[in-house]
Amino acid sequence: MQHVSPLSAGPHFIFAAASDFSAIVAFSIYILLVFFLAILSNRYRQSNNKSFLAEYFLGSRTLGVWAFALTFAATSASGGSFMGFPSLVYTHGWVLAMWIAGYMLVPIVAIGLLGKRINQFSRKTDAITIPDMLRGRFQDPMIGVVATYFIVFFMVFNLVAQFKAGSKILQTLMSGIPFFDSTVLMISQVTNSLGLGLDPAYVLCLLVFGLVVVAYTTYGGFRAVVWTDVLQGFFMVAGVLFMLPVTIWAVGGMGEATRLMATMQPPIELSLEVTQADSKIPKNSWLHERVLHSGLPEDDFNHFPLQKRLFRVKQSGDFDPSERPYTISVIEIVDQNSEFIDSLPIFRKANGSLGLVQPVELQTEPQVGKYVSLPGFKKPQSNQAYLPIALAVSFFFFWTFSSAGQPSNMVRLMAFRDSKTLKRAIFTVCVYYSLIYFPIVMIFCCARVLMPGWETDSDRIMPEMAKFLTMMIEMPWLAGILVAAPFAAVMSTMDSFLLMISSSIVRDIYQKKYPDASAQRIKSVTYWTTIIVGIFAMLAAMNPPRYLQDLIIFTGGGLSTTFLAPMALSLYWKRMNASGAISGMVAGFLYHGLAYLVGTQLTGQFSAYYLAGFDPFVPGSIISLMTCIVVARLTQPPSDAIVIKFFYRKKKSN
Amino acid sequence: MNSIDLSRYEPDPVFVNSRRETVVICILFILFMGWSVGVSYFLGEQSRYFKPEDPANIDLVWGMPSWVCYGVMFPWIAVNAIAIWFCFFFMKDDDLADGPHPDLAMVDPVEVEADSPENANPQQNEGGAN
Repeated sequence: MQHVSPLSAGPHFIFAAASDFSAIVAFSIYILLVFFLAILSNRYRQSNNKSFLAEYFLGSRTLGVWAFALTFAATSASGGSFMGFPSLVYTHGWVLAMWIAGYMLVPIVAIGLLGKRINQFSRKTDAITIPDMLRGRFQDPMIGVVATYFIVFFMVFNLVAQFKAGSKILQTLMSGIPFFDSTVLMISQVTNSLGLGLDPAYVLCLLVFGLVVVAYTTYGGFRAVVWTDVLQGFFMVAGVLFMLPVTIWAVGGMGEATRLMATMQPPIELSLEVTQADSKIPKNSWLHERVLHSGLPEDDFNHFPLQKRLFRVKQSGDFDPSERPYTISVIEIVDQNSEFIDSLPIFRKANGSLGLVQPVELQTEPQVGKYVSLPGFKKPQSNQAYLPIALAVSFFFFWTFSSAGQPSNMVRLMAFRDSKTLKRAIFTVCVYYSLIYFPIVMIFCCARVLMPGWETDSDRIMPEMAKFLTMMIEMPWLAGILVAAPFAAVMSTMDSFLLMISSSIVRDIYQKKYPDASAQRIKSVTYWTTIIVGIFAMLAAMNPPRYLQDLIIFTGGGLSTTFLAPMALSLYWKRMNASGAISGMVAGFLYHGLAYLVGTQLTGQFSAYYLAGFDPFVPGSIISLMTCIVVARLTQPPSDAIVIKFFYRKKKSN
Repeated sequence: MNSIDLSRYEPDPVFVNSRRETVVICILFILFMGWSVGVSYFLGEQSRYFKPEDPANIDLVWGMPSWVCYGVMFPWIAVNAIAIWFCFFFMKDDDLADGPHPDLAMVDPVEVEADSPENANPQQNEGGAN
């Protein structure tokens, strides 16, 4: 007969309590700084007699090295870099070094490939948005309309997803703080009375987070977004560079951590049936199995060494006292040592035991060594290794070229001052990414050794690690600053997306419809569009679609597949025409949609179909490229005036 | 291109330089992807790297698996070194600001095209391929 003893929810509760106050103070100071920058930016705009739209949406193309480099880096690094990526490193180990390796080339490819030409074209066409530029490049209003709809379509989904990501981070940060809890209670009364069925803590965080972002973005415009990106960029790198040495010190050296990881196995997911639970077992509780021998008192823990099997609750399930057994989802930590178990504070229930427990699934093949070698361990559902070589190549392509194809990155390429700025910025972003991504792999490999069992809630590993480290060095107030890093990452992405959508609506839809609108009118339409888009995204995020992380990947990949090939050919191929560009966009878009449709049909969940193991971006971009070339060849060539305008200049002697 | 006298024009140096830089970027991409993926999978593939009978006895460099060091960290450092060459010695300084309207008024770009190349100010069109 098997019994499970409940251990407490783990050390994180202790750390949470100690760093509560610091988190809220750090968050408040951070928000104040952001608003200060928005006010400065607004003043700057008032005092400079520059075109409102060009200043509001593009900072009048005057970005210097630091502003350009950090706004590029911070916009690219979204919540994924500080929540999703650490969570993946924690879950899969050193394999993620290979997964992210493509980032070494992102600055050179994503900025260098199109940078000069996009900047030059946007000046030649007076463009402040991507559709604007394409319209000017081909002298064709249709391409502007098509590009606008693709951008707004993908960006709105992405914005909603980013809103949710930001709110979730804030929720992690604030949970357990008395002031926060009491406010949540008030909100829950409102939502309950309205019968909305929403999570009140999430709604509160969404409101605070969303209103802050919408307010400073609307008030400050592009320049505020860029300045806050610079601030956020510094927060991100400072957070990582602080965590790295402390983590290595805490784990007793990187080599020690890697050797331990080599002996570890990924936890096994299974269900447990609990026969004697008298209340719901909280998520993240530790459970320990012991084997009962006949004739020994059932609740006497001292008779049994803590050994055998260790579980952690992943989903606490629906508890109904009238129904036994009560089923919960857990992970089993396969390679726990007794020292680690002893360090877990025991949460003693009144009756001391949860009674009979039956693991529903049993351990499968051991996977020792997969944390430190390629291609990583097999996921139980798919039976496929995490990173086969085709997928590694695919990620290399994806990170570098899909960054080049992101319209939000392209807009930044329109905004730098001159080519000297571009050159310095490429190098700056190279160094910046080296200081962020590789150290994150090291930190969260160590986290796997320092804090096992977080596979139950691995998205929380970054804030939990921040709390753990700052407690360890007895500086809990630092946790607030560290958790500002992922927060900054989400904000810097959201504000850019918000501005992109509103610029598309104002410039590419409203101004085309009302070309004679007065400057004052345009100004108020701009403000209101930004506010309305922001509020709309916030409301949509109240009840967001289920697979959010997948949605972020879907929209990011979709934008690149749609825009990269048509944009590159527009900049470098004289024979390119509007028909070719539109067909290329539509082909990329359709392939991307089709890959997701087939993938979802085959797997039963929202995912892409990997043709020959490649991410849809790779075949999609190739199809888009071929379509551009074939259609452009088959249709009328561009006029001489267009070719000369974009590919030639007058001889100096003339 | 029959209607316009091409002899009055020369290829835009921004275009020529960017195209040259693009070729180098693509070569760098292939080289570094080959290095990183090739070396990592050659050294780090489980059957070669890991001995199940003695799990803790693995080849480490600076505390990380040797394949991570040779296949990810070294190329990453090398990319940064090459970025110095690429950005400060190879990439040309070009004059990008030759648009017809330096201050972006709310002008429909389709109308802007009325500024045919022949009418453009030669001073504005000078690209500086230094």
